[in-house]
Amino acid sequence: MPTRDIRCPACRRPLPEDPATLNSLNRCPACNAPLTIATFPGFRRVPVAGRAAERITGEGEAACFFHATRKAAVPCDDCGRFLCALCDIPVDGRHLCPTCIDTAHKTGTVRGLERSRTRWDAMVWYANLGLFTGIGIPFVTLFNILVTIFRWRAADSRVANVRRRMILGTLVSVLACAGLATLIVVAFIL
Amino acid sequence: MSDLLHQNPAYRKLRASLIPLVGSSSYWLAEDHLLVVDVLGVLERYRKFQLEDIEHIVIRPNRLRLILGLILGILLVPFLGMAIGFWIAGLTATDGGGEPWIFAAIFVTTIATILFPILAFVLIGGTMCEVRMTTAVQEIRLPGLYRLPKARALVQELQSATQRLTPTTTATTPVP
Repeated sequence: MPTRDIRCPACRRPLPEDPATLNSLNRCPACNAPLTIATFPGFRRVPVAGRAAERITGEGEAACFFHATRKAAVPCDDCGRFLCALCDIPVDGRHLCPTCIDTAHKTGTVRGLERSRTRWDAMVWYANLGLFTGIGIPFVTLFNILVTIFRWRAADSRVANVRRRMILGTLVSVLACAGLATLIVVAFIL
Repeated sequence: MSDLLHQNPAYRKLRASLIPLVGSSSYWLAEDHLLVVDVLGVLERYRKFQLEDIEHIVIRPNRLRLILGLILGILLVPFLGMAIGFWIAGLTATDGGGEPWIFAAIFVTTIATILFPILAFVLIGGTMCEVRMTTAVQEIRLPGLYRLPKARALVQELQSATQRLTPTTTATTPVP
């Protein structure tokens, strides 16, 4: 079984390596800090070495685009370059080369590599805090309308209906703006 | 095209937490991985962990509840005292001199009314904690898991999910 370096988060002293002992711990044996540890099957897993890229042994064998002496294993599903086992990066069932991975990171074209999204609805609602300033209401409303129009297609989330929230936020600012305009008109009339 | 997780049958929502005006966190369990969605301000971040890669989770209870409770309590007590005093002074004042006391009473009562639910939320939710997860390649602090009972429930669900994984995907070696 591989050894794991588990340390107490409070005193940083090593904890027992046996999963059964770890799971039954309520306190750190060294500093007595309360803690609960849950081990998972990955705790006992033996690290597996990655595939080695094979050397080209004879004439007529395709070489890796990035390593001329290594045998090509698969073509990149994006750019078509031949890749050895070392350069082949499987993502979402596809084989990609490091260059395409870099490009995908920048362009966000591969869903499995996506790390973050901008929440334009949150931008609208944060801007709505400016409604409390009173005088800033028209600027907030203009900002929200522009964000809703120009970021409509870019607005997306995996946990919330962003477009509905954007419309709602913009509607609130428009109503506040209409209310402010009504107040000003009434004040002038009176 | 919408790819909302709660409309995706491959994902099951395990836990979600919200801090108003700051952000939210949610945990989504798929067949072979855990997806942590962390919203902070205007940025929604995704972190995907293969269940087979999770090595251990450490839950460490801390004294944040005690500290927050003390701070809020110390703030709340004088405001409550002032509110009671101002109301009594305002309501018992004669010849119309109670009006300033009433206004002061309304002000401090409003502050006390804001502080009290926050204090109640801090005290009722249970012991606060910090949760750290270690995988084959990294150790991270799990966001949004501030309460011990919720953290334990999430860990239990994760453990049962990893137990359901087939031996071919867990690739574990028998314990000697």
